[in-house]
Amino acid sequence: MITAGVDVGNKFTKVVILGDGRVLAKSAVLSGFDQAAASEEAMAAALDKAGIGRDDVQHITATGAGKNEVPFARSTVTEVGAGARGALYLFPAARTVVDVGAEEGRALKCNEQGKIVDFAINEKCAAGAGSFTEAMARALEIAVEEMGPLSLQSTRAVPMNAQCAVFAESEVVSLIHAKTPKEDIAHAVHDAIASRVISMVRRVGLEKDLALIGGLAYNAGFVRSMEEGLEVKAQVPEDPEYVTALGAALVAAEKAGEEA
Amino acid sequence: MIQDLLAEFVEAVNFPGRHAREWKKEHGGRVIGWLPADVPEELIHAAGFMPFGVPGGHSGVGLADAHLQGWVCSLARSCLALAVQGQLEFLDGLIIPHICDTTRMLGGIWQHVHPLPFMEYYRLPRQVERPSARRYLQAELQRLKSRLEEFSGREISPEQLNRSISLYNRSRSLLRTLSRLHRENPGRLGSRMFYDVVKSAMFMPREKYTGLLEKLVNCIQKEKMERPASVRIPLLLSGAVAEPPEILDMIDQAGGAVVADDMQTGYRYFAVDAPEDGDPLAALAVRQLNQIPGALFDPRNNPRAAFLVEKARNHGVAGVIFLHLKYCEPENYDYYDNQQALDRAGIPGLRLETELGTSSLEQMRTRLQAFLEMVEGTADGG
Repeated sequence: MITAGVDVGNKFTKVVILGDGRVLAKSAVLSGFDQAAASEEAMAAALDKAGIGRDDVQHITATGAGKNEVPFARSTVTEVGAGARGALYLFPAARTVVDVGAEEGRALKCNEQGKIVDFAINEKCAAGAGSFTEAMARALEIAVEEMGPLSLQSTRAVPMNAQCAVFAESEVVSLIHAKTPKEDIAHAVHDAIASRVISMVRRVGLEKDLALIGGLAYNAGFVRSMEEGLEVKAQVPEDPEYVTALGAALVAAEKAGEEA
Repeated sequence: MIQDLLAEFVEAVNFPGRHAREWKKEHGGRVIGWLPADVPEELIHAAGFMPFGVPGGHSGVGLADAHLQGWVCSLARSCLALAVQGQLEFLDGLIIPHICDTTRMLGGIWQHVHPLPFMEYYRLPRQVERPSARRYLQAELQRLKSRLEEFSGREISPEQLNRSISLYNRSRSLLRTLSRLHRENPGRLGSRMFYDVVKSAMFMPREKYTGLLEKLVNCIQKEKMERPASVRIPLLLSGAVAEPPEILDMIDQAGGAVVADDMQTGYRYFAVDAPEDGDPLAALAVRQLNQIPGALFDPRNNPRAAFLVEKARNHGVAGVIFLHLKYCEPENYDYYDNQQALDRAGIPGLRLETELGTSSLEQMRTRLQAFLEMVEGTADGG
């Protein structure tokens, strides 16, 4: 059976095509303003990679902020449900899942059955989400991909007081003027995001194992800050950005099974 | 028939001042506004005025910011904004209950920004379990009654007040019946519609409202047998007001239904009657002291936590949604206790922080959908 999950995020739209429990293909495109077009584009790219046609896919489930904009989806699931589903598929022992994307950070707590028992989502603020790193990378005049490796070279923790992406940017500028090494500033930025996310984790209550998913989990510096802050080792999948789309594809498989 | 009736309630909610303006034109009377919650409308009614619950608005909330601090809740700010925008031009007076720090200072500011011929506070006792509360409250009601009499130029007789109490009790009793019918078949009206019917009571002359409500209840009772009960995920809503109302639509759209609540624009508005025998002022005091637990009043052991658990169990809800206005300190203080009690009882809870005018609704929709996905199938009855 072939199914697909489409995760229309605030920044990227991701597609995962699943064939009998195996990932056949995945793709990501910028969501942009036209989410329907982005989802079409991402779907076409994934089908192309898998070497199959749209008709070969039995059920498509959409998730993410733009889940209702996917014209070809048969069903939807929230990004909270899909994220947990995907993470527990990859790490069955995970009980706490942290999902940080471009605009939203979430902490989910699951039970043995993979059912969500509690969750917390950041409110109206980018300080606990991926866009924050982008803004800070801009202030540091480095590529966002360099933030993680750079911060790992830091040996000194510089405190950052700002709780807000806009104020934090001016704080970063002050640190630059104070000749603080870039790696220490990058480290401080990750600690600041992690502290926001950790407060959400504490709200739902940390239970091991901890899995980190979402685009920010590509950033090794953020992962380190999370691990240090929570004093646990985190499980990070190879492609953290696609886990929610994978979860949606798993939900699609379940729905297709129900329909059969 | 039902659709026509419902349209009247919805119109009253969508155009809150319409009935008050018409009533003034027809009767040449005066309209006294009140802010939530617990202001004894019976007293205003018995004085010959039309009571009007100032509903809070969704546009121009920022206009109040010139007069109120940023940490004042959006309900208070939006009420003042309505006045500043000239949308409450039909009000001849206003009664503000002392229920929190904001309402305690709002009157002075309102007087300054938008003075009205009649402005009064209603100073409710917070510690309602104290033996002195009743005596104090009765004296406060007597004071409010005298002030209304001065403004109207005539005395309120005990018979008049008893008639008003009886009218309000009648409408409350009908609302309780409607609430039961809604619980039995929450898909019939839907949560948004049910709470619109409740809320419209605050904007209509009570005689007219009670007549319409009676017709509605009769109609729904008659058709009850014919319609199958729809399957919804039953929820309890806890908080001050169901704002923004789109939240109720979202709950309905996500397959949920609010079948119980403790809100000022919900159950708290119609839960308790005033006794109809004896001294009517004492009856109004008794009604207030018998009110369901709420964040505004502060008995020592926070009976609201146990109240919520019991209500959640009695109505077999799958979860509790705390709808908190940003900066509402009384609700925020109680929340921890209430959530702990629900946790112990194994009832899932979700806290949503909302504002009138500026809530980001789609983020809220995600939270609601995720919560409903989480609790689906855990309810033990409807």
